[in-house]
Amino acid sequence: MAGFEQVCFDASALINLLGSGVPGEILSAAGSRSVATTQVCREVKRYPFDGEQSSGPLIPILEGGFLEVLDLDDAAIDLFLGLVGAKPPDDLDDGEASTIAYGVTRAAVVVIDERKGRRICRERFPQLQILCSLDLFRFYSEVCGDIGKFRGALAGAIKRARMHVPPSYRQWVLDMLGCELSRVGQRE
Amino acid sequence: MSVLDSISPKEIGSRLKSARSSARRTQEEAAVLIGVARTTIVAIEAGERQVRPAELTKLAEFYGVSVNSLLRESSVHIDLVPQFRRSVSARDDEDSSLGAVRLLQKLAARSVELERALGKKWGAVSFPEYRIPRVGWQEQAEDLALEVRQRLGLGLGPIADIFVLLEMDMGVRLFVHRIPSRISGLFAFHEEVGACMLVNSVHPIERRIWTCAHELAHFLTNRHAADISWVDRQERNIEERFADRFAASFLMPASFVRFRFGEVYESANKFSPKDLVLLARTFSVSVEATARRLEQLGLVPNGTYESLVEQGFSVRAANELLGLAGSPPENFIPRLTWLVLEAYRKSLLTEGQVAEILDADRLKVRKMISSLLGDSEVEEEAG
Repeated sequence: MAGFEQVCFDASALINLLGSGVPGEILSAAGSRSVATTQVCREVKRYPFDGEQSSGPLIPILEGGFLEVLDLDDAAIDLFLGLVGAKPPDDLDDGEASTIAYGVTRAAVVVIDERKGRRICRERFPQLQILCSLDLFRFYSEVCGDIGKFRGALAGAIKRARMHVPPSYRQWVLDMLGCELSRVGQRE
Repeated sequence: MSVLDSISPKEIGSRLKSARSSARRTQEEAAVLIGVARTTIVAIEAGERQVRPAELTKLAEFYGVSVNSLLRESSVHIDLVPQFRRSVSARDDEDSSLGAVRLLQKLAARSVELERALGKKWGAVSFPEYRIPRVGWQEQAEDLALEVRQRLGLGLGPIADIFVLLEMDMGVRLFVHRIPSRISGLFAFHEEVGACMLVNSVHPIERRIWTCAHELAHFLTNRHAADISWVDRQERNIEERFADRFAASFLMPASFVRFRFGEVYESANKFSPKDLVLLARTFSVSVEATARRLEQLGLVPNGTYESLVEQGFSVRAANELLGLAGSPPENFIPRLTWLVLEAYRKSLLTEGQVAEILDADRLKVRKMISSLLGDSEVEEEAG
């Protein structure tokens, strides 16, 4: 991620990183300022994760300085409201909308896995750079010296967070995990 | 131009008021939060002053709702609140009632909206409406239950799945959602939407099944009078007593109950608490409801259930002793869930919106998507 000043995470992407078990390391490997809006953090904290409240795994990465929580400024709020209040089916949920609003107004790279969110970004904000969770895992694979640890992180995100693996990344994940993918599986 | 400029202040004010009530927050608390006078909150909620963007985001967070849900423009406008006025005003917890009514309204509107977006049709089934007689209503309830069973080809045995029955065979829009625990369920009929039922997901399945049967009676006898079913039902008018009798007969037909009771009694020369538990499990209703039914049919003395309770009878202990799981298995997936997942597959809804509509956490949503949509979920756009 060299060259990115800051990266803003959507709730879905954050949940995937949390599932890896090493979210701080993945965020550190990115080498950028990692941020999330208060709306996103609220969504992650509100939903349980492996039977626990997500505020558990979220706290270490916040307190460790790996992730910053930011409020939207006035310009971003206007755009945010426009995105959540768009005519259905183009309206977005708070987390996605706030992530895009932040990215557009602060020229940040956004990490969004949601197909609907990515579609709206492409249609309305073609200049916005969009990454997905697996892009971060790919970056992590390049700096993580321990292949076993990396495989564990990737498998963790798939199994614990049920991270979706898009077709474009299927072969790469298979190469990384090998036969472990069938054991990890997308479904139980 | 802000999106708030295109939304009626009255509409957004009404939604904010509803959200505040559901969150059990006061106007004073809201005023302190956004740094205004209480009268300003009053004016906002009355639509006399438009809420400002920053205020809206703070209030949404405070009330525990998404801004998306507050601003969302639905193409389907259903107002069920007037139908429930009598039911709501009859209780002292109007906030709980109104919250549940608005939820039913929201879910019904969502269903219709998703159907239109997905090009799906809802097959409402025509069922006549029956009149409840003032005299002989108990027999009428029994007869009606049997008539409906016959019409649906159910025979006299236990109903396999009343939820599927209501949705597929009776055209009822059925929603299972978390609502205040004092409310068992709601029923309303709307010309545009049809019959709608909301049952409480936090209740045990036996109670939900009973609630469905009870509300079904309202659909069949008084469908234009919306109903809220309370756990501690205070009003026992004839419509409510009829609905309970109908539910008992619909779920536990008299002839089948007598047959099964007779088999057990003749074999063991008694009908024990263990037999009561097994019979309840057969019908997927509560032990208490089963005992009441046996009393109703004169098979056991009145007060049998109270007597058991006084003697320390525990349903949980009995289930464990009999090797029964805590509750009957649940396999019902509401039609709304299918619509929502299909909309997600077509990128009409985000994961977060799916979670909000289904009142489920994200991981549960991901599990649902994975197991119900399978590989069809991975239709990907280019790039």
